[in-house]
Amino acid sequence: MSVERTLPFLILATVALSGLLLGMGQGDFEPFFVAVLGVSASMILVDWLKWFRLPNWVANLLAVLVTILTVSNFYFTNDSVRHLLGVGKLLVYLQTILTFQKKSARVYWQVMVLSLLQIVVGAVFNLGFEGGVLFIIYMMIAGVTMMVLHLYQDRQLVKLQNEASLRLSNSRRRAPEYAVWTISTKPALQRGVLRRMVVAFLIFASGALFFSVLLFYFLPRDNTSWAGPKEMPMQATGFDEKVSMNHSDLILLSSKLQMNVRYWYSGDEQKTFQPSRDPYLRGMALSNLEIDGNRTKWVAPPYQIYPSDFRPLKMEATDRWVTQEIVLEPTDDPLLYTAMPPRFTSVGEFLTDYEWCWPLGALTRQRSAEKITVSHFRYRLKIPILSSGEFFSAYPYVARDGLVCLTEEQDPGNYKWYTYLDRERYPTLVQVAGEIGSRVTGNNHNSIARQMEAYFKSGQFSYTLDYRDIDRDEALDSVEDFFANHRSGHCEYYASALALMLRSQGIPSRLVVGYRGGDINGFGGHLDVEAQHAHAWVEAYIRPEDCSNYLMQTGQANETGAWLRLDPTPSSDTNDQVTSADEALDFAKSLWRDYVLGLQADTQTRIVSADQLNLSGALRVLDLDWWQNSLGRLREDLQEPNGWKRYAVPGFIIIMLALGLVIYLRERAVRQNRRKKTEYGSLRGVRRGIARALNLVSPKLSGWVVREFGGRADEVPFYRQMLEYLEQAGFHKLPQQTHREFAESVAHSLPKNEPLNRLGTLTKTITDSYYLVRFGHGKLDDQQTKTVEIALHDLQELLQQTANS
Amino acid sequence: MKYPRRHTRITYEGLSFMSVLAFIILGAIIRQVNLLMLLSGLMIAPFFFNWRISMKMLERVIGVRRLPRMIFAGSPFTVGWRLKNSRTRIPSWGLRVVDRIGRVDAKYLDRVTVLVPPIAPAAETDVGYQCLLVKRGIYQLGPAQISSAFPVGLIRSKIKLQNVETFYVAPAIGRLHRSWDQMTQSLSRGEAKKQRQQRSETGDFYALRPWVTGDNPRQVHWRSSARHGDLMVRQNEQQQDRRLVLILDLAETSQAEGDIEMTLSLMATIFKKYSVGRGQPAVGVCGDQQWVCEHLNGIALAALMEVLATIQPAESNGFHDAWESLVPASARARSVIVISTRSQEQAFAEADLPTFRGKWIDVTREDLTRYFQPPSIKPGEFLNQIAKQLENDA
Repeated sequence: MSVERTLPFLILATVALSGLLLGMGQGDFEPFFVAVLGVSASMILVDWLKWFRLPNWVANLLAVLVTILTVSNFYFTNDSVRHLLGVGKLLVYLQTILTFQKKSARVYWQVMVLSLLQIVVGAVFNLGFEGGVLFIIYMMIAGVTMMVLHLYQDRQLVKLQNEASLRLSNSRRRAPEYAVWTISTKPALQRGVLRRMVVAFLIFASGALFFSVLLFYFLPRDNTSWAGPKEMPMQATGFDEKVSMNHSDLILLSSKLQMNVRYWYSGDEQKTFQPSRDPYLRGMALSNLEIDGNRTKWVAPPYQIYPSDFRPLKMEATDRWVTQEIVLEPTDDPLLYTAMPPRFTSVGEFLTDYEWCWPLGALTRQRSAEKITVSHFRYRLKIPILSSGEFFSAYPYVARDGLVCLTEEQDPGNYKWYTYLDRERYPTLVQVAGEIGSRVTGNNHNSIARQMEAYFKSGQFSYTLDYRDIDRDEALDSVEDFFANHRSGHCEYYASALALMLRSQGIPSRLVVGYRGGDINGFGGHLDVEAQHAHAWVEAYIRPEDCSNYLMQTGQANETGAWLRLDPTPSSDTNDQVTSADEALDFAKSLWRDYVLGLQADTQTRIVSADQLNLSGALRVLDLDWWQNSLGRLREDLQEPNGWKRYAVPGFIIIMLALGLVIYLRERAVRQNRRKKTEYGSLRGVRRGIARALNLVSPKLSGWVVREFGGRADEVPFYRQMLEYLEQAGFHKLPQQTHREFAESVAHSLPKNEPLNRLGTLTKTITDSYYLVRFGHGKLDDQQTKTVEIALHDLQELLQQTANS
Repeated sequence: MKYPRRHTRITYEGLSFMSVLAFIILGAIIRQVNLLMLLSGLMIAPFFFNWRISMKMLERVIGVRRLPRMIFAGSPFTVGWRLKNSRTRIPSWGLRVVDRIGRVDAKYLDRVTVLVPPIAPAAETDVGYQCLLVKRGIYQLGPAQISSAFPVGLIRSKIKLQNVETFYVAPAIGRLHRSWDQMTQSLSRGEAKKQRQQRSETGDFYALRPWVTGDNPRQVHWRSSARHGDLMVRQNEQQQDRRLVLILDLAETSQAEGDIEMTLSLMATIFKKYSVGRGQPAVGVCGDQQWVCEHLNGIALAALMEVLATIQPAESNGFHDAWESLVPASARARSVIVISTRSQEQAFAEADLPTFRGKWIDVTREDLTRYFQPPSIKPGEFLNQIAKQLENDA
């Protein structure tokens, strides 16, 4: 396929990709469709069918109009995002207008530049992993396009030159003095040449990629990497999450990624912690029970939350803990998730970014911010663990008003709220709860709660998300129907039923929503938490007197009691098949997010540190402290009287210096030898060796040896002198020229006026004498020598005069 | 072997690329946009590699221009370039030769660009361009340069060649009519007849041969006839010196101004015709340069064409010397054709020479198209032909 035919398709691919990337960045695919349709239409209408094309002035006028229209919109809004969107569209419109002109290398190049600028705008909006892959593909295609465009440009140049020559030759206005037609030779690509070209391109592409990656990781950064210009209002200042037991037929599992979670033993990021059981990533507690027709609803009680409830978490010294790092996918939800109970890490910059609401046990982003940047959100927390390698199953109760328990006596208001229940609505449930409670001696809430939890796992209940074949009683409350009749449901039914059972026995409880577990990513060693991992469970308040010694000793409970996590949901039969391809993709996404889009100073330092990439050697060169320390150590070593370094170090330095000197001299000799190859070629054996050795010390001496003992043709002194004069004047003897040809070329190189005719004569005279000496194996007699000397003198003067004039 | 020094410059594309790059780097660093940093890295790399690769493409590359021996105005010729890649491992891609062409006294020389196909390691390739020059004179080619912007055209490296060549363009070649041949033949026949008459009795004896009808009975050698029993005639030695003498007499006259180029064209056509035949004419050219040659052969023709390329009429043009040299008194009988810008009388009066019985063509009075068809030099037609031929080939 010829260059002329290939190029439009490459341009189309480039334009389509840049439009797509711009669209992905902006979240608006109009530019993509405009670009693809515009360029395709121009290819068909302008290039193939040749129906029409825009004259330059029309195209320019249109471009100006479009620019004015776009820029004028900037005055009506101060929103930088809208400005950027406008610029992106403007670039696409300009590009489309350009393509409707007659195609030339210049037009194609302008299209390429506009396409590149679209990539810039798209990049400002931050591209996701898929965008990153397209970005790399775009760069590859753009590289190939540039290569083909370069070939096209060369061919166009010759074509235009021929056309201009033809036009001029046919012109009646001005009679041309000559006509020129360049013969285009079709490149006869041999297989070897083609293979080398492909290899060269691959080397070129790899080199470019390596270079850019190196540059990328070494460019200086601060700790706030660009997260994109887009912002959205925070979803709510309070919480409106709710759980409603409706009568959906089928709940589909969504594999939309919600977050990545990674644990490592604190202090050592390389030492990954794998929880022995799926971690419960707590979102928030829904403690308010509402009734909506036949449906039981659990909602967060915003009216129960006061601003003072939001406090920063305190650092507490614990013996055993892990660091939890969570990276949330872009969302406008201020709610954050964590295993319980969380503590902030010592990374100071995070402290101002989020806060903790004690009554709900909910972690939120900083609520004073009204907008959330549409980007990934990363946070780290310290999570205490048990010696068994499990997370806590309970955590201490902390009341708003200090050291009070959540009992009817000490905190009646909250107790009433946490135990609220319409007993008439759930008769079977209350009855079964009473039976379980009565079996437990001493009214131990801890034991009652655990027995109730176990009740759901006794095999009487089954887990399902598909209600299409389940016969439901619409007259009953959905939870009562679940508990009393069909006994099939998902986590929300189980959690609701358990919470209601606990409340029926006077045990304060609340429903908790969040995520449980996730898919372990074998590449990154983290958990990919998806929407399908969303879960609901129950937290029951355990009075201090009911807390076991184990809970107290491990810090899971304190003198005001504890919130005990209870998960009544039996395991589901759904067996998620996570392929290694999925894992690889997720891992690649996390790499893109962490090491490309979100790379900032601390990550950068970590990457280029000795432990990670072993690049410290290169970086240390820039570190003055390292130099100071190293030199100090060296000085100490040298001062040590009996140390081996005292002799070894200077010896090493001397050897290195000597080695450097030898390498330098050798390089120099090689360079000069190359120049004087012809000289040495005339010498034999020992003389050649002597000349070379002398050359290391004194090139002049070496030259003398060559002249005296060599007798090489080129070294006929007067001829060499002539060459030097001529070289100074810009005449270089080409290797393929004979001496006579060179003389003729000098004679013919300038117009034949009087002084310069002499140049030819003098050159010829000297060259003739040279031939006599070199090829005639003769010697010049006195007269001839005199003639040559005069000729040389005249030549020098003539060249000087010419140079001066 | 010393190779010319390589230079680099940023192309138009490179400049616009650099502007965009600067904008991106600025934005990337100021706003800490990681993706822009990556993009800037990916953009710097082609720039850097383009520089290195384009320099590499020209390493140990040499180019030699090739010209035909003789160039005539109006006749297309090829300026050839032979390029050699002396590297042993790396081919040369994307080379471009930019040559310059124009009259030697022109202020500006036009550029001609020739693309070079890939050259394999340690191999050479031939490229070139076709050229048609309208007027005779001295022209110049070069200085040329070989360049490469491979692979992406952002940076162009080049080597400048000091291979300036001047060359002579002879007058255009036309086509001689039969009338010219008839004229020269009649001139030769008349001369031969006269010679035969003169030599019939006086020529040296060469051999005996049988009598054929038409032989002069006086030539019969009776004694030998008696011996052979058949009529034998004497064969005398033939006079060999029947070569043509062609003299161009360019005297400065006001009437002849418009006819000079056609005259030169005719002379070039004649000289070219006779230089390849057996009878090498004696040639004399008189103008501001004088050139005389006893035997016009191929070698002499090249020198003669150089003279014709630049000759101009002159007041004292050395006609007398040329005449004396080519038509000495002993050989006045030669077939002499003089093409002159003045009348025979005027020339001989000025040169103080006797009249002769050859052919004197006064270009101011005689229509030269009677003898030859002048060349029709139309560069457009030539290029159209090439273009058409290329189309057909395609």
